[in-house]
Amino acid sequence: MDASFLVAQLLTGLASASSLFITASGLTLVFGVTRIVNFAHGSLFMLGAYLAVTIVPRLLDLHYSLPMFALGALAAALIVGLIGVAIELILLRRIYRAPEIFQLLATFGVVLVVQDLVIRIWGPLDILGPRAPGVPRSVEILGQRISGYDLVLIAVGPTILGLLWLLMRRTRFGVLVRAATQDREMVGALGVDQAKLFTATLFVGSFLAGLGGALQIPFKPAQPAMDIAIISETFVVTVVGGMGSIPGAFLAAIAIGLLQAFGALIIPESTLVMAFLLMAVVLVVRPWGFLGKPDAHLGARTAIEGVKSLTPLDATGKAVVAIALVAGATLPLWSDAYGLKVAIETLCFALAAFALNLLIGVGGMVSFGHAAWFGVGAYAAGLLTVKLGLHMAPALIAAPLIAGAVAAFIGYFIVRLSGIYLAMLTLAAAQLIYALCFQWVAVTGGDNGVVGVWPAEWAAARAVYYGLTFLLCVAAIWLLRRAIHAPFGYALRGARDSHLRAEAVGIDVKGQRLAAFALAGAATGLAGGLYAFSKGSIDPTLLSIPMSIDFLAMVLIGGVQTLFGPVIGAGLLHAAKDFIMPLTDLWRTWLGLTIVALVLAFPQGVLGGLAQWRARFARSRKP
Amino acid sequence: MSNTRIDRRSLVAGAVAASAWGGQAASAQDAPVRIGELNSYSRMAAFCLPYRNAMQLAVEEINAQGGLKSLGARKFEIVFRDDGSTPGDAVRAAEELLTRENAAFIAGGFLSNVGLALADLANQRKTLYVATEPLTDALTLAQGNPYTFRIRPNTYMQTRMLVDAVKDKGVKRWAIVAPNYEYGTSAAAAFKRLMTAAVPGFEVVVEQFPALGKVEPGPVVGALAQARPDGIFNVLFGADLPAFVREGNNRGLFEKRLVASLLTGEPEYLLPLGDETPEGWIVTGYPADQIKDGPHGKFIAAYTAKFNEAPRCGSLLGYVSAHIMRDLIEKAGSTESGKLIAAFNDATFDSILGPIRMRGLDHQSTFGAWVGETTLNGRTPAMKNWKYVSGEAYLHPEDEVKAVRKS
Amino acid sequence: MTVLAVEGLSKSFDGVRAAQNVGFTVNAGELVALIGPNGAGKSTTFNMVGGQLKPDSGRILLDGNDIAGLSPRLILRRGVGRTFQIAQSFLSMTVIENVQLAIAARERETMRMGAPLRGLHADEAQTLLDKVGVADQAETLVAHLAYADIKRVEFALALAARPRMLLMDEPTAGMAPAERKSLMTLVATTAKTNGAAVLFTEHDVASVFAHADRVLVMARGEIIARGAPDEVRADPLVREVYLGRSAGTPGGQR
Repeated sequence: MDASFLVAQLLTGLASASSLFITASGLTLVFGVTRIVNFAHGSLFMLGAYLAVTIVPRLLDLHYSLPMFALGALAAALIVGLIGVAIELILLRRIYRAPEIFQLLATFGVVLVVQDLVIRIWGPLDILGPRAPGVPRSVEILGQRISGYDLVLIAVGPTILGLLWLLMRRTRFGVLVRAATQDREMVGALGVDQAKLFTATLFVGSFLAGLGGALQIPFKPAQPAMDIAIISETFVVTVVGGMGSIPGAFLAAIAIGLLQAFGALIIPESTLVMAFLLMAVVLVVRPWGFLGKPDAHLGARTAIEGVKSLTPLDATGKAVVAIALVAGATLPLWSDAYGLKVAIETLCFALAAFALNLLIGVGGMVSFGHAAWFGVGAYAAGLLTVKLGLHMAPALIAAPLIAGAVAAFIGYFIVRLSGIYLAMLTLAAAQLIYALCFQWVAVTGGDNGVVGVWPAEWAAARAVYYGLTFLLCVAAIWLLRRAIHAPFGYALRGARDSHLRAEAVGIDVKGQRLAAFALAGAATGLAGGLYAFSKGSIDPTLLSIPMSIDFLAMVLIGGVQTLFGPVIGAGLLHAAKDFIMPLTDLWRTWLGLTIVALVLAFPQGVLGGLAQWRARFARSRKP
Repeated sequence: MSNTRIDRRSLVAGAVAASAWGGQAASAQDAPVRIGELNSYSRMAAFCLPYRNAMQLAVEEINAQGGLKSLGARKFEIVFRDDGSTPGDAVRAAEELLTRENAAFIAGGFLSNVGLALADLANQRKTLYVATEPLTDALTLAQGNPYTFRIRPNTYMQTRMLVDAVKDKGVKRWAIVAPNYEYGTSAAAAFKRLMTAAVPGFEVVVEQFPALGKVEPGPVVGALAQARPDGIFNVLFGADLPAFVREGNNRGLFEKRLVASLLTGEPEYLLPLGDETPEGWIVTGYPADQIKDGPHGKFIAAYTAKFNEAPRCGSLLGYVSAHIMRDLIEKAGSTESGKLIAAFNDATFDSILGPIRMRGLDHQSTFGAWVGETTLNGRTPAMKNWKYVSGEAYLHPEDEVKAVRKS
Repeated sequence: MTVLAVEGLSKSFDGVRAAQNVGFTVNAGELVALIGPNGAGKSTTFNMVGGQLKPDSGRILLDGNDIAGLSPRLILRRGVGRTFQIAQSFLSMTVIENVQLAIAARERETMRMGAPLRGLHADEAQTLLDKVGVADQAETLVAHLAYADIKRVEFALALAARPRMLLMDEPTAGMAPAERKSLMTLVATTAKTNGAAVLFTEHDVASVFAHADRVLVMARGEIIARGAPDEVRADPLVREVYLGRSAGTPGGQR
């Protein structure tokens, strides 16, 4: 490999990095000020690209010049900025009082809607934008041809960095943003209108996302899946750079751009996993990222509100549980085979979601990678059955054990962190396991997965398998609930309420959390194993990011403050999906709107909201 | 352009009493025969929406011609469901179609993992599955089963068509770029195997496997150019393709090099290239804009009139598949799985492409593809020097099938 | 009998010496107050003894064994209970659950996943609540308590460990004068009956001189005076660096 080639590769890597930075700087800005993990950032990026491929060619028809191109890109970014403001005003502002993590769910609803929207408006075909006028197609450097536009990007990235620096240092807005990034309460205490600050921040952040999208049209087409492609990478940049740090994001984008450019030369398949590997390493070695501050409460403050208090079920609660149990146990008598199928899946999800709430609601540890344990359980069950010829029963015993062991191993690194950093490490870990399942074709079957994971003869009948699932899921949930009411759960909750006090009364906080991870992992692994046998196959989508988001959505929709909220959430979300999907092509829109509606109607989750209403009703009846 | 009519679904279906498993049992004599069709209409809309359009066109035609004659003129109906692009959602939707919608059998699937999961479900439930689109070789080889039949030419067949077209061009030093997932890696493997056998001195000088949908064109093009290959075998498609092509054009990657590119001639992937379309790539595809004659020309005219755009490759597949399924039911004279399968094996169907045979050995049809070169017609991408190649000569060799196929 | 002996304790942050060669002892049944202006190094010293900070050098002997640098949890296990300046109780739990959890933690039962906490150590917890005077609030969520009562719960949590040594960081901050007196009397009585040693910091000088057996005065990271309350009060050095520095009473500095 000669030096000139390495220089060329370096420059193209820097161009990718520059483009990534523009988008990621918006995300880190928004996170820094509002603490919202904005999933819709990728959607805004996508809208920027689509608007640009619509606006720019029209402008170029008027006058074919680089300024016109730039004008078009800026116009697209501006519109996206306004869309961001609209999202803030219509949606996010209404739920600022809800736990911060809840806003993540709302933005995820937006993601689903926008995905359908772009296909509606622009059609399903990919749209490649025009080249930038006046920019040479290629430039020869040291005998290597490099895209002229790459050089433009290399210049634009640092320019944006500089402009943002000026904005942050020289304007009142910038001062407030920096203050809010460091201490949000402080800004509120200073009498600054927080709502206005948030709106302005959403505008700038969305503008940057739109600009990132608009500027990439000369080398990448606008297409309906680009939101998902970019969002995970911008998360990585944000975390690796240090949450809220714009220069950090710049460095992180460069690190990722170069890793991608040179990593692919050594291991061609490595681009799949490079970014997440970097994030995992950074979080383990230097959790606050390149330029973030090792600020304990930045991590801790994103901790979610969780289970508030535990009381034994009252009479109404007992009655509801009893009715649900009887209905569940007798389901085969009054439901058709398909109803049982849906019920089996719902039970699996309910168990996984309940286990996730052990971490979130009880432990105060938000996990973005819960699908990992579901997937590991499913893969353990599936591979043991198909590849090693094990029977279903031992495979179902092995699934939780293996998932629990893997969760304990990874949990060792995770429990040393807190807040958003912890959440991001769970995401990275899940992605690494995903990559392993995806890439280790000889064992896992790669993305095709493995088929033939069917129940043993005795459980093959739908009703029998349903009975088995019902029994195991209910038993597991009951055991988890028992653990939550036992000293174990209290100690975990104590660690969430006050880390200092927990240590001072003799609770080993890390150990407690590690045990919780292993326990939640094992329970979720069992759910995954049961799910695999009900589907007959395993494949990497079981431990993908969308699956993790689904679990998170179930927990949040149901409510993190109550133990059974996630069970309700699992039922609601799955039922909604099952009901909406066959009705319309626009099922993502409707699912997204359903999520948004639930978020707005029940900012404490459905069960949390019901409990509140009940309490209010009870109070109003008192004389 | 996206025809997104709401699928028909009787909202009362939930209230309908449990129906017999598999759906083949007694429905009223005049009730339509339903086929459950699953595909990625939302996530793979570019291919799947035209596919569904054409299927609906075919259904209208079939029913206008009097429905299913061997079944007393019962109507032919296809119920569409989104497969959610994951095996989990697909299997659930399939069960819904079989249980609640009374589908006689299932069809469709786009992604390979969805196709394999549906095939396995069909095997488990002993129901026919007509895999229209999934390309993975495994579906008709190691993981084939008696209930699963594939219409489209698989990855191996399409690769072999391209190999046939380039093997005599005297190019030995090849670069390979493919998306990092099953379709990409197995196309790359098939290309290497077939070229090694066909071209003495064949060597691969560089391979790149960027993540699907996330190609960074700069570094990939740089890596390919650096190895100075004489030929490039490309498997990138979808959003990765235009990015790769433009960057390659910018940096002269394709100059004086032979490029063989899988699926690139399909309108779904060719049209987005616009005026970037390189000249003279050897591709598989579908030159719908240039076929005027015979029944195929009539289909194209009818489709264009109805949907206001030329058919895509997905349209062709949907249209032909719907007719094959109709003919299959007619041949079997029944909607029972056993009879359908017996009728499917080694049956030959008349289609707008000419006769299509379903090979009994591996349940792979001889549906073919067009092999030709890319070009620009003014500013519109097109294929030239194309010819239709039936799949017949490109099926997996029989001994290879027998070695790996279990049932 | 000496329970705690601190020798040559030092700690710097980025070159700033927060504590320098600090040394003192606390005996069983004795209340020792650690006072000084803000930034004098009280909290640093406190957090080193409690294990929240690691000293750069020096020894912290508890019953003759060096506990310097151990984790808070291990220090607790050696018999050091503590309260925090800003109350750190388990806000999502009831008063009695707080104490039950602390007792369960002492008994190393936190990995038990079976029997509910509700029925564990209820008697012992109730006795402790009686002792600190919040028994009638046992079933109230700590989050709903008045601040003075939360401070009492803090005290109960510290006592749950059956400590030989109590570290109390501003135990009466934010309380009304009458409540202060009653709590500090309670602390003193408890220390005497249990033979426990108490080290506390306090802003309220009146409270210090009323309840402490001995007083340590810190300024700029060093102990500048020590002795009985009266001696310290009379020490001119103390007046200069501590009392003289602030315009009003020392208690009013906050």
